[in-house]
Amino acid sequence: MANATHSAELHHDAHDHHHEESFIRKYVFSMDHKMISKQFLITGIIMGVIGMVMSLLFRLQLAWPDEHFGFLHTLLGKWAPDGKLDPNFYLSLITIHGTIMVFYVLTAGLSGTFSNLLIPLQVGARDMASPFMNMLSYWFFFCSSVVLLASLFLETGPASGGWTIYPPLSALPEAIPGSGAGMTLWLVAIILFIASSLLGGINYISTILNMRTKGMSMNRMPLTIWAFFFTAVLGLLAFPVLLGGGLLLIFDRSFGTSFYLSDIWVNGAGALNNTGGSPILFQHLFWFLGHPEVYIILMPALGITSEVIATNARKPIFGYTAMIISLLGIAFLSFLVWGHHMFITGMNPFLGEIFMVITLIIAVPSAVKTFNYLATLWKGNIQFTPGMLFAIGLVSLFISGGLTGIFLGNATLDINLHDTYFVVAHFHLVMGSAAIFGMLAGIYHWFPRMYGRYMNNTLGYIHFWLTFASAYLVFFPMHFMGIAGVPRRYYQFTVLPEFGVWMDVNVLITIAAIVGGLAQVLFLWNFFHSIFRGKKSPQNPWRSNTLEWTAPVERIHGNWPGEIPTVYRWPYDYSRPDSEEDFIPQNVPDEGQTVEPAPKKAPAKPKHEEVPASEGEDGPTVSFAALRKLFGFAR
Amino acid sequence: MHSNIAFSKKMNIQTGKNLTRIMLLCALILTTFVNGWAADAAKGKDLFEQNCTSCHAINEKLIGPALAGVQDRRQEAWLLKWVKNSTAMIKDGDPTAVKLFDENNKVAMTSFENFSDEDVKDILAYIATGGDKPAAAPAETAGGNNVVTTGGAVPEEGGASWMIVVIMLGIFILVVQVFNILKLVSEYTGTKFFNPNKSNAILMLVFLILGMTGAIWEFAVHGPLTLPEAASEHGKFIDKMFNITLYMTGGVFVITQIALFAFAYLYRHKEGRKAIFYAHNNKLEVYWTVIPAIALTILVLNGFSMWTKITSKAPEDAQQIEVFAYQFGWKVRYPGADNVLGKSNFNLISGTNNLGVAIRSEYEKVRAEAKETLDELTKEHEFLSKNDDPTEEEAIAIADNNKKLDRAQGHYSRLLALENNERIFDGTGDDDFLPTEIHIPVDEPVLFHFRARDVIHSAYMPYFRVQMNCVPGMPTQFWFKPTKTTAQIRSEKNDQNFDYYLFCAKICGAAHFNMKMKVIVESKADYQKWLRAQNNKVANKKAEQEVAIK
Repeated sequence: MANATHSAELHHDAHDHHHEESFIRKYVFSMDHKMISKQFLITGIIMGVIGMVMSLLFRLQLAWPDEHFGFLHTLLGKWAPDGKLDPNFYLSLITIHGTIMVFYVLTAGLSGTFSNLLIPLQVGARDMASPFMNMLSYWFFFCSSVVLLASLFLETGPASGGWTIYPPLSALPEAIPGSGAGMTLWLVAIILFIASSLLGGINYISTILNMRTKGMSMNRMPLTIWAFFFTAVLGLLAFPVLLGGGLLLIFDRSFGTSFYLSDIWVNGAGALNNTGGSPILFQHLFWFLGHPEVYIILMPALGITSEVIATNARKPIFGYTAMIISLLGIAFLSFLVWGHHMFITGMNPFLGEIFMVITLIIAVPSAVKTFNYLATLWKGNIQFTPGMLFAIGLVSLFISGGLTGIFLGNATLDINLHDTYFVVAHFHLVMGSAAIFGMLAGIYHWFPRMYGRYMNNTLGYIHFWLTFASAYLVFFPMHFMGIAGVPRRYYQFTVLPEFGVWMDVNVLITIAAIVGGLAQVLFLWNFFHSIFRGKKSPQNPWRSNTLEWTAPVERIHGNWPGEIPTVYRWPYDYSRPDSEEDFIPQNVPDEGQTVEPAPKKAPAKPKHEEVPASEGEDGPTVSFAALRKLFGFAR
Repeated sequence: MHSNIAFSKKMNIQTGKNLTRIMLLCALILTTFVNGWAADAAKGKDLFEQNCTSCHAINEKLIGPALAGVQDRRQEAWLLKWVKNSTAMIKDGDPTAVKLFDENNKVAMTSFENFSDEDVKDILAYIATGGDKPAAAPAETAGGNNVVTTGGAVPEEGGASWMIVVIMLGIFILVVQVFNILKLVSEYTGTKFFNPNKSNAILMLVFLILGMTGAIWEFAVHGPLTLPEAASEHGKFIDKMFNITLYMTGGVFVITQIALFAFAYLYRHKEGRKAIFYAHNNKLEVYWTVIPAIALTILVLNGFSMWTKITSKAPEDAQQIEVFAYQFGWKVRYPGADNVLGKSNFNLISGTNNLGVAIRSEYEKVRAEAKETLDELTKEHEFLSKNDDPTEEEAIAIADNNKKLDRAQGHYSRLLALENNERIFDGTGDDDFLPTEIHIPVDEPVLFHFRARDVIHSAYMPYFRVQMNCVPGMPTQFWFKPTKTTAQIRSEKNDQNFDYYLFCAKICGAAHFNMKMKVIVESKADYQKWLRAQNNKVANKKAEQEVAIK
């Protein structure tokens, strides 16, 4: 104990001498987890805006296929001759939109922001296990974003084989121009992205396992931390497989191997020499990442929602243990269901049966989570902050999108729904909109923690209601198009006269999407304006229990000026009948309790004394101690 | 000296222009003459729709340029050459060809070597009629941007669309302003005019009511626009299962959404309210784990047995049909009189043998062509390799040549290896025939074999609840029993123009959206009649060829 105090004081002292950090150290190559989380957030927002504008561009094409928009020509040049999107560029737009949203916004933007911000603050650590790796993680992500955006300016255009980049389409420049240099840059960008994600993930896991403050046993961690923990484990196991798949694709594209290619005759090149490969192999590798990826996106959003709903309903989250077990169940099962993306590829039907069974099992933990959210709201005392609105919105979207998964997970029904608008509707609701709502809930909720100011509530309300309405207006009608057999990724629906009846729906969807897009302008203004001009917030504005609100608002490297608070209770003591206040922060001891309480399980040993979180004395030092401890743990 | 060159260049261009004008005039006269006399626009229409529409429209740029007025832009001889082998023209450096290639994202037009001159003229004649949209083909302007809206999109409608956007923008601003005014008023009067908890709680309720109404409206209005009852045996079971799943999930949807929004409304913050401290209830957790698990087990078991049935082995007597996908279209092959589909190999694909069917005579032809290409490339290679100090451009040419040579060598050697392969040249492919539409008999099992030439495609026939990917190098299959003839579905839908179609559902390139083939379901008798006629055609053609050889 004495040791701990000593180390904390030493640490604090060290900081007093380090206040005059240079601009570059402080804002650019920062190793402070709070600054890195802001960097992830702002990069994520910028990428999100780009991805959203892309979706509006191709929505224009889908709603008014015969219209010529002059401004498109001005904006896109040769990709929109006569103001009408070029079909190849249309495919590029949907590809890059998907890539940006899935990886850059909802993986890095969401997980990168909130894991970085909340893990050290909520478990009570001075920083990440390795601040240097954390910094690298952001800069790999930044470079990856730059490479991806650079591909937009290539003469042959960016990658255009869909975000799933199935070969042979993605391997043959003769088949589609985007598979030339555009695809090369896409692959480079994703490899950088994977490096970033792995560096981040290792850090999150080691911080959570090793650097929890005194009393913060695993069964006292907020659900956000549990969600980030499982997310990081999923990423660590799944992303390397995508890396492998991507490398093999690079070999096929550039070095003449035949992992994915066989028996191909392509217009413009004739018969190719590749024999013996299988395009389906790539799909197996891709979806081995791709499916866990869905949960890598969704789980942090669910964690954030759990926290925001409990705080604002002023009620403990219902079924804390059940919530953790269901997260664990989802995380585990997500590795065994990738084949449901491939029911109709011609793979062995027996495999289809196995994948169908496991896929439908995954609906059970998802249902448990939903019911627990509902039970948390029941007889609560709901404060409608913008964050709370988005959290409730997430639950609604999660229900709507999740239920349609039961259709698609059934191989028999998938035959007719595969690659139709039904799929588009399903995943945009359950992982697209829901995860974005989780991210927005997190931004509104933790904005005071990040910047010491509030965001404007009124603007937040308008933002929420417009976004919520537009999400449903955009994606709900798509289910019907899908049931009618309208395939996705079509440039226009002129091929069959019967698709004509959906023109009105397409116009409706596009208009709703434009309104939704405009609502995001409000958010952007609110966000950036509030950073500088927002109303100053107190230290614990939502009267929340978790540790991050016990740290002062001022940015301090090391988070707490004195000793790190000790934890005496779980994070959901809201509205306890034996307490005057309707919340009891985790660092408040029980009445009359002077010694550490004895929870059912022995608390994990407080670890923070042994690992000086980040030694700032001589600039960057990789915290090998933390890494050693991680491996020690694994052993 | 320099000015002289410049001048003579100018002269050349001038004469060139004049020449083009004269040529154009000739071409015009020629085409009018041809139009009036020989070419058959009706035949051209069929050819156009089967071969060209995946990339071209008459009045609109699709993958390739709009074709209206193409006879005025180019000479007929040039067009004939271009259609038959555009790749060769680009390779030979024909300036117009190269320019076109560059303008269209360096994607070469498919070569139609099997077209006769008459075929191309027929197509041109059809284009000259302006297609189905009468008098909509203006001459191309000098800039080359002929902007013609097709179909129903008259400018007024476009204006209306923009009006909607403007109105939406107006509503958006209005909402923002109303909120602002409310806020100002409450600040000014000092009263709690705007209580965020109450307002948002009420909005939750409003959203629930509007949302549920909207969902019902959707089912009422858009529900009927979805597919009618399946036109296949297994499809009916899929429909049934879809409905069971819909009722189950629909129930859960309504209950949970109502609970969510109602709770949000009921338990909004009020002065003096305190939430109850209720952290867990294991009994409840067990209920809402076990009940969904049971419901899902029912669905899984159902789906399981259905899936096994659908993917089971096709009956022995099923009609065998091969569907071949390529960028951007479909080909269909029937086994012919012997009822056995001939073997195929991608190395045998050529302009006259699109599917690479193993036919001896075609083999000889494609081998000769491959040899010729190889020789050309080798010669070019020898010439290029003499260059010790290549410029950047030349280096690119050398690399290009190497790549092509490598491919040509591989192709030729694989063809040689096939020569004595009696396993594939077993003669079963000789009587196969390739119609332009798929014909299938009603109430009989049909087994589709799927192949792809270049990238993954997906054969999708939603009316039959059939979809299967077409994967290069990995043949796939799907069998089913259609239960409604085209005539039946027409009367059912009350639409005499309705047809079943096969189309592509897997992203496959620029014209992905435009790959379709008509599927005709006939009575058994009609089907047999059609089959006999097709087989006779094959037999007659064979006899003709034999006579010609003699």
